[in-house]
Amino acid sequence: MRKHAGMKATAVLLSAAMLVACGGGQGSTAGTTAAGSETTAAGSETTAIPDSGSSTTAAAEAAGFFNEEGYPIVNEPFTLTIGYTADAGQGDWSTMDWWQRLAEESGITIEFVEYADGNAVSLMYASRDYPDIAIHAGSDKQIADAAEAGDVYNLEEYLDYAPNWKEYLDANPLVKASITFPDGHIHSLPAIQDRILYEMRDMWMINGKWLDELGLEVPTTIDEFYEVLKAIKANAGKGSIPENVIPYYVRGITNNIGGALDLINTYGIRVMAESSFATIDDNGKVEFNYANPDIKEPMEFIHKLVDEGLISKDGFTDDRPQAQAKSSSTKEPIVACYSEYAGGGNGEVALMPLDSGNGKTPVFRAQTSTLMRNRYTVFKTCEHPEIAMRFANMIAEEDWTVYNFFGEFDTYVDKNDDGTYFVKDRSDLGQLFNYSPQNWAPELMTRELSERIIYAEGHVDYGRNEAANQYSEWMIPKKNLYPTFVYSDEKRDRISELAGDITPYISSTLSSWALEGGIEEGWDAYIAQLNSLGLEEYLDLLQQEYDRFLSNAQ
Amino acid sequence: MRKIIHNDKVFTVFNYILAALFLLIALYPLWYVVICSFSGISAIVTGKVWIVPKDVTFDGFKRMFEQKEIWSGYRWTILYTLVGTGINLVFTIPAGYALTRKTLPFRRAINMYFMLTMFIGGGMIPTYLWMDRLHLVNTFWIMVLMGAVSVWNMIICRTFFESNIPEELIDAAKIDGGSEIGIFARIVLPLSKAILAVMTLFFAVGHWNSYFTALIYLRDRGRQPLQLVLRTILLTSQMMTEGSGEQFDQLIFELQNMKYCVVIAASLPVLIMYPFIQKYFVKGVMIGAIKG
Repeated sequence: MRKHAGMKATAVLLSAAMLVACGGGQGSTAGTTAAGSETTAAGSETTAIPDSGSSTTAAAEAAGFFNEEGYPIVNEPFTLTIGYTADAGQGDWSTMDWWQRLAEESGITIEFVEYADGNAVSLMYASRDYPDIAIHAGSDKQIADAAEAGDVYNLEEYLDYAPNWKEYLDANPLVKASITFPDGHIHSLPAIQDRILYEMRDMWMINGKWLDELGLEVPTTIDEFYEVLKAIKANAGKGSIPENVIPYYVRGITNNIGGALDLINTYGIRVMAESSFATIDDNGKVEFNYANPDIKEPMEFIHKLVDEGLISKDGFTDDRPQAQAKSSSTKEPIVACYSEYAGGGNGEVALMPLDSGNGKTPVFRAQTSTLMRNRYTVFKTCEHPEIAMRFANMIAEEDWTVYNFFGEFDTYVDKNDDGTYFVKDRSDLGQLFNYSPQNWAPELMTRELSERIIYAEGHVDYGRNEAANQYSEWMIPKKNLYPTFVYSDEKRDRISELAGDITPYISSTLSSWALEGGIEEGWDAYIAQLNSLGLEEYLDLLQQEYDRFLSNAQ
Repeated sequence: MRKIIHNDKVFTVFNYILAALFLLIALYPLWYVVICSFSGISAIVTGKVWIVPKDVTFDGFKRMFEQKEIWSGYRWTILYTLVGTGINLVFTIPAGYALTRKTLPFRRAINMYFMLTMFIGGGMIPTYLWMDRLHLVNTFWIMVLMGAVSVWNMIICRTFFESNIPEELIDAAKIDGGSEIGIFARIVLPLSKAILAVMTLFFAVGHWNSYFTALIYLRDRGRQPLQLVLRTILLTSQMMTEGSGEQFDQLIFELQNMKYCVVIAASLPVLIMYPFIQKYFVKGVMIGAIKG
C-alpha cells in the first residue's frame, strides 16, 4: 500500500478543508464520540487534566445527584464512558444483556468505546483522549505513566464508595499488594475469580474406558503409568483402541497449556510455565527449578517414553488447535493420556499425581489467574469518581458477579434461599461470550462465594470442580507461586528482556533432550548458557521485586 | 535445420513446464484456502487436507453467515468503498490534470509539495492527534477522507494527461470559448476513460482491502469494515490465552475452518470485479508510463 504511506500528510491538509462537510455528518454517524469529544477538550492545551471531581462532588451530593447507598446510583441522567478491548472472539459489549441490565438498575447511561487492538489503546494513552473508565485497556506501564501525569484517580481514596472491594482488599492484603502500583496507589481494580478450579490450569486425564477394556487400574505410580502406556500401545487396534493410538500426548515440555509439566511436577519438582518460570521456596526465596539437577530424572523418563513411541513426536511441533483436534475435540479418541482444560467426553478420568519413587511428595501445577489485574481504571476525565466506584461496587455484588460468569438468573442460574447458587447445565457455553464480559469485567468471585456455587452434573465446571478438589492436596500452594503484581518501572523492562532470552532457551533445550536425549552430557553446558544469558541477575531482580511486593502487603 | 527445430520444441516444452510450475506455486495457496473452507476442522488442523477437501462440510459458511458482524462489515465496506472511491476520484483526477497545465501558477512548487508527502509523513501519533482535534476519530468520514488524494496515483494521472491530451486540443477548445473547468469536464474527461477505470479499480481495491484506518480510528464495532472483522477472526484463531476455558477453546477450534470461509467471502467481490476492468488496465497505466 504504497499510496497510503504517501498520502497521509496530504490527507491532513484536505481533511482540514473538508471540515465543514464533516460537521454535518458527524452528528448522524458518531454515536459514541459525542462524549469523547467533550472530554478531549481538557487534554488539548493544558498539561494536566484538572481534577474536576473533588470540587464538584459536594455540590452534586447536596443536590441529591447521586445516592451513597442503594439503587439507582444516580437520580439524574449521568453518562460513563467505558473504553475497553474485548476478549478474542467476544461479542460487542454495547449489545450485551449484562451491561444493559446494569445500566438500567444503576440509572447510569454507559457509552462504550472499543479499542480494536493494542495500537488503538496506545494512541488513547498517547493522545490522552481518555474514556471515563478503562476496562482491560492499558498495560501496567501505560497506566503508571498516565498516573504519573496525574490523569488517573487513586482508587484507594474512594474505597468507601465501594464497600465490597474495601472489605475484600482489607481481608486479603496480598491481593491489595498485587494491584498496588510502585507509587503506592491503587490505579485499577482487578477481576477476582478465586474458585478452586481456577487455581488449577488443566486436568491430567487418562482414558478410563480403555483401562477398563484392558482390565487395568488408574495408575498411581510412575512404574504403573509406564506399564499402562505400554499396554495401550501393545493393544492398538483392539477393542475401541484405535490402530494409531497415541498413549501419551504432550505439546512440548514447557507449554503452560498442554506441556509435560504434570509429569515433571509428579517428581516433586515445582516448575511453572507462567511468564516468569520462577517459583518461591518455603523460605520466601525465588527458586528456579529449571536449573535444578532434579529435573534430569523426569526428563530422562520423558525421553524413554518418546524413544519407545509412547509419546508422539508430532506433539512437540503442534499448535493449540492441532493438540485439541487430537485430544479433547475429537469424537473418536486417539490419545489415551493428555492434559487439557476439560475432557472431550470420551471416558476420561482425572489422573492424580503419581508416586515417582524418589521419596519426594508429588506436586500438581497451579496458576495465579485467580487474580487478573487492570480491569477498572478511572481517569480524571470522569467528573464523579464516586459514581464510578459505586458502579464498580455494583459489579462486585454477588448476584452481578454470578450473572456475569454463569449467565442470566432463572434461565441459567437459580438463586436459592440459603445463599447458594445452582448453575444449570448449558450446551451453548460459547454464547456466554456475547452476553457478558466474563473475566474482563472487575467481578469479585471470592473463595467464600465460590463455595456456595453448586454446578449441575454435566456442566463443564462440575467435573473441573470435582477434579480441582481432588488435586487440591497436591496443588502448589499460592505462597510458592511467583505472584502477579506491578513491577517497578526501572526493573520491568530488564526483567522482560531477560525472560525473553532465558525462557525460550529452556523450552527448546528441554524439548531437544526429550526428543534426542543427552541431558546428562549437556547439563553443564546448559547451566553455563543460562548463566551467560543472565539467570543470576534475572533471579536477583525477581527477588527484589518480590520483596517489595511482600512489603506492600504489610 | 531439423535439429534446430527439435531444440526449439524442447525449449518450448520446457518453458511450458516451467510456467505451469510457477502457475501451480501461485495458485496452490488460493486452492488451499478454497478446499479448507469446505473441509472438516479435524482434517484441517491435523494436516490431512492437501489436494482435495476432506470430510466435506458447509458448517464453516453456515457459522460465518450466522455472525452479524460479517453482514454489517459487508455493508460498511461497500459504503466506504463507494463513497471513498468517489472522493478519491474527485480529488485525485482534477489535481493530476491541473498539474499538467502550464498556466497553473507555482506549478513546480505545488508539484514539489505533493511529492514531499510521499517521502515524509507525520507519523502515526501526530496524525491521530490531528484527526482527533478535527473530530474525525470514530466517524464515518475518517474512513473515506483519510488519504483522499493519493500522490502516487495522481502522478500516474498527470503522466497520462501529459502524454495523451495534446496541448493543441486544449488550445483549440479555448479558442472556441471553453472555460478551464468546461474543457476538463467536456473534453479531457471523455478522452480519459481508461485512466478513470484504472484509478477506480486502484482506489476501490484499496478501500476494500484497508483495515488499518478502521483499526486505529474506529471505536465502535457496529461500523467496522469487513477486513477488520476478518483480521479479528484470523488473530483469534491463532490466539492462546492462559486464563480462559472451555468456551474459548471451542471457539478457537471452530474458527480453524471458518477463517478460510471468511477469506473467500472477503475476496470474492474483488475477484469478480477484476476481469471487467482488466481490459482498461494495460491501456491506462502503460500508455502513460511508456510514452511519458
